[in-house]
Amino acid sequence: MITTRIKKGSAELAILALLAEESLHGYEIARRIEEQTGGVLRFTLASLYPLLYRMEKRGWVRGAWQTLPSGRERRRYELTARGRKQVAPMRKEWNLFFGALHKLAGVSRG
Amino acid sequence: MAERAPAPDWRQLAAQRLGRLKLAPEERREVIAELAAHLDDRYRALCAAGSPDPEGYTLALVADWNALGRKIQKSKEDPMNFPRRVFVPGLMALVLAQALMSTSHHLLVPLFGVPTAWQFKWSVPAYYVPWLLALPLAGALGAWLSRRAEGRPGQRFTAALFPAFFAPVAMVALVIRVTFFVPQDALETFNFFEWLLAWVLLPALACSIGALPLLSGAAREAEQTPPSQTASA
Repeated sequence: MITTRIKKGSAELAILALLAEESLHGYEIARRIEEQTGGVLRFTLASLYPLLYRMEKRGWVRGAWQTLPSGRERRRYELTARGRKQVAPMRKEWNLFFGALHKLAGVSRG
Repeated sequence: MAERAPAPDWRQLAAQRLGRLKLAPEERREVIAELAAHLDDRYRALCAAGSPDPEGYTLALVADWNALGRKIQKSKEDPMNFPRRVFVPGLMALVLAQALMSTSHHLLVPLFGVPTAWQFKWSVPAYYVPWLLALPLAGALGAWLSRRAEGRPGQRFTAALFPAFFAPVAMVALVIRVTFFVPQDALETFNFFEWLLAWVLLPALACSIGALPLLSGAAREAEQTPPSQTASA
């Protein structure tokens, strides 16, 4: 079981990595993360939005309202240039982290 | 086949459960609309999956709305809000209060003489009463500046009270002086409760009176802004 602290630390990277592929709205971000990690990482509504707002305040993501074909309005998030710059260093940092764990405790990334 | 109940008004529900989210009106509306949209998406997904209780499962997404509100507010709040909304307006109120005291002192002391500098007794200095009567101006300035910076009523009130906070700070200096530099017999003339009343409580009351008309206004209206139409239409 992954602890809350590690999950918290990885949450920003998870969102940045997703948004690097395409812009998404909140529900879709939560759904994709859960789906793509097989349910290991799971965002509740209460954890997702405060994090998105913090990232927006830092200038990493930008939210804008869009009207869907169904007529419903959703706030779509996209990466800013500053956010895009965060992705590579964060990936590197997490690779280092898991590499270190692998050496120490045989934790495999596969 | 039984007909499903109409979808709840998620926007209204989010607005009610988040309560008094202390954000700017537009920001508050956006947050509520966004959370409502999330709840609506979840509800629709559950309905599509044939869930027996889509509303219940959707509501289970948020265990504690108050905690969510606090987290959102914290994540949205600018760290410079406190200095802009409380500290700077309070400092301005304090400066005005000191200027009023200096003016009062300058005008009245030549007429009535100077009391001993540190003896804040009921035989208060000649400039005290005019200063106290003018103090609502300082309170009003603090509250007005705070309101201009979108301060909430509590923040406006705190800013208005800054001139009354000055005395306790000065008291620390006074205690040091009395303890180390003033002859012990001088202590007999000092009455703490009189000092508290004359230099803290009455100034606080005067500042509050000045601030009172400025405690209602934009921020309170924002908190009471009713949410517009539902997001789940």
